[in-house]
Amino acid sequence: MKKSKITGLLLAVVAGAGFFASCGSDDSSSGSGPEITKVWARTSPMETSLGAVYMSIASKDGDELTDVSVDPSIAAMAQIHEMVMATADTSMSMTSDAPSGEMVMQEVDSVVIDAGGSVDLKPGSYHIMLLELVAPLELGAKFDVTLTFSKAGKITVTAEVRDEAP
Amino acid sequence: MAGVVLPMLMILASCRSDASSMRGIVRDEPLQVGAVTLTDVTAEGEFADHGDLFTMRAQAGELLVMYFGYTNCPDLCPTTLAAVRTATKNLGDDGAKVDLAMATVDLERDTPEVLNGYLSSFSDHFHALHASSQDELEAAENAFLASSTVTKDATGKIEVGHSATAYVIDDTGSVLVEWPFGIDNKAMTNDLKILLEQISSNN
Ligand SMILES: [Cu+2]
Repeated sequence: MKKSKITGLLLAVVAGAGFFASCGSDDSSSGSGPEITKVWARTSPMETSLGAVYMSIASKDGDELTDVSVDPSIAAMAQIHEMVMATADTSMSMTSDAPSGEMVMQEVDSVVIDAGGSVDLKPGSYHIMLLELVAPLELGAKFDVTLTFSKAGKITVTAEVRDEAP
Repeated sequence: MAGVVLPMLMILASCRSDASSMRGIVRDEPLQVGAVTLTDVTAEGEFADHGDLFTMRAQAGELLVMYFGYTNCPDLCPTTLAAVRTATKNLGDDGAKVDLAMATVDLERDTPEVLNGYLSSFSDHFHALHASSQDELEAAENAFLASSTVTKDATGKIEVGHSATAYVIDDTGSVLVEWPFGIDNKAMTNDLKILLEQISSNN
C-alpha cells in the first residue's frame, strides 16, 4: 500500500515534468532563438549568501546554455547547477523503507535544449546559483541575468525576486 | 506511450480537490519519533531559550513540521520551507497551531546564530536544532529514516547530500504524514487542514 503510493508519486513527478515541458514548446513564434519565460529568483533567507534563479527555456532549433553571469553588484559569481540523487546511495530502491534518497547539488557545464523542446530550471532540478550575494534578494526586486547559448549567443533576461515559483 | 498515459492519470487524480484525502505519504504504521531528542539552540522567536534538549513532539493539540536541512542549501531547503510558510499562512488563525523545527545536517558551518537567522525567515515559532555530535544527529535521522552526508573535497569545498522529506508530527510523536520534496503549498495546506480537524474532533 505504502510502496505503491510512493511509486505513484514519483511517477507523477517524472511525468509531470514531461507534461509541462511539452506545453510551451509549440507557441514560440518570434525568430529561432531560445524563448525564455518565467524567470524568477527566490528571496534569500537571512544569514545566507547564496541565491537561486529559475526559468523555462524553449528552443525551436535546439541550443545549449553554456554560461551564466550576473552583475557584480548582485553576486560575485553565477554557476549552472543541478540537483541529483547521490550515486552511492542505495536507499532510493523502491523496496526500501526510505521515502527518498539523498540529493546533492553539482555544477554542470551546460544545459542542452533539444530542438522543439524546452527545459525548466526549477527547484529539485537545474538552477542558476548565485554565490556571495552582495545583498539579500528582497521580495519584488529585479535584476538582470545574462545567459550564453552556443548558437544564440548572449541573451539577457530579468529575474523577479519571489517567495515561490510563479 | 502507455507508460506516459498512466502517470498522467495519476496526476489528474491527485489534482482533484478531495477534502478527505491526504496528499503526502501516509504510512500504514506511522513512524514514532516521540522519544527522539536533539540539542535545541533556539534563540529567537516564541521558543527562544526553551531548554537544551528538544523532544520530537508537537505541543498539546498542535502539529510540528520537522525538516533536516542546512542553510547553505539554495534550492531544496528554501523551496520546502517557503511552501511550509505559505501553507501555514493559508491556515489563517490555525497557522499558530503549526510549529516548525529544522535540524541542521551541516554541523560545522551552521552555527546556532546562522541557523536561528535562517529559520526566522520562515517562521516566528520555530525550533532550531543543532546536534552536539554526528552520532546524535544520525540517531535522530535514523528514527525518521532520513540520512545525510557531508564531504569535503581536496580543495576544501564542502558538499552536502541529504534526504529532503518534511515530516508532520503530532503531540505523541507520531509522524502523521511525510512530504517528499516537490509537494507544493496547496497540498501541504490540504494535509494540515485535515490533520488539524482530526485533532480537534478527537479532543
Ligand atoms: Cu546550487
